[in-house]
Amino acid sequence: MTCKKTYRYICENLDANLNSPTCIEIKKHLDHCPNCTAYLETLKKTVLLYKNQKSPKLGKSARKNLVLSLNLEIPSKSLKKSNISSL
Amino acid sequence: MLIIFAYLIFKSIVVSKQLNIEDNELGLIQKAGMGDERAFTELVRRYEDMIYSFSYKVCRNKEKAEQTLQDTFINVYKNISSFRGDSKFSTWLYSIVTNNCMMKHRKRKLDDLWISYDEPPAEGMEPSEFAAWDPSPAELLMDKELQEKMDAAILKLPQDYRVVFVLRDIEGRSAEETAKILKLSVPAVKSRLRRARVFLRDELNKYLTH
Ligand SMILES: [Zn+2]
Repeated sequence: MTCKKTYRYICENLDANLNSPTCIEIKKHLDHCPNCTAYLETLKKTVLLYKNQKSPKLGKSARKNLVLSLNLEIPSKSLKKSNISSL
Repeated sequence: MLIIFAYLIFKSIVVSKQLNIEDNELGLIQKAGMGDERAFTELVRRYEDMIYSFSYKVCRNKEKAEQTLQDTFINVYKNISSFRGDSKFSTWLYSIVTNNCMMKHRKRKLDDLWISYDEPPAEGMEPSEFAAWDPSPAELLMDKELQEKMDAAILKLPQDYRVVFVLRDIEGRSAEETAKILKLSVPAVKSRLRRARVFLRDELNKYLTH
């Protein structure tokens, strides 16, 4: 298994089960190729970083604006304020 | 024996509860489709956080995420009677959100270049020397400057790639569901995900190894 093949494969399946014949071959390659190992680690870290990055919560004013926009856009069946304000 | 019996009872309660939630949701959707405001309101309450969070992860901008949230529910209200239940409700919602995100996004010239190479040339993919990123992800996430780099990097991705990355790697949707949401083939999803990951990794690498 060449570095190029390993590279391509690990990009495709970051958390693949390493028991299939191809994966065993890749594992062998990774065992003695620090270059591909480092690459795999940084690729995994990239995904983890984005996965664990905090994003803002929906705030009170945004909730209010949602209700207002729904009431404006759906005038025929305007949502009752009493229903929505309990959100 | 008694333990197995207790386990079976417990399991059947769990399963019936899950079925109840799903039944309940389908009922709500049907009622909302017939113009029941209470049912629609309940659906808004259930899904507003998910939709806002997904929109934010794609747009990286609070105002755009808020606007997408509003547009999405207006579209849901207008089209809910056409939801047949062939797919999961969340799959249907994701596809509406994605359409709304896409419509707000002005295409850049660079984006077309990416799309025209859905399968990148094998040359130029040879890995060279790679340095490890030492700190753990938790430690790295304390770095404010890295956060900014992460936002900038993901915004450099064409939207079609960004959405695939967010759905697969951040929201944890399967390749099949992502394909359904985006009306793409599974191999196209995989290829876009691969390129998005490599691109983001390379962008962060510039910051983390210098
Ligand atoms: Zn190698």
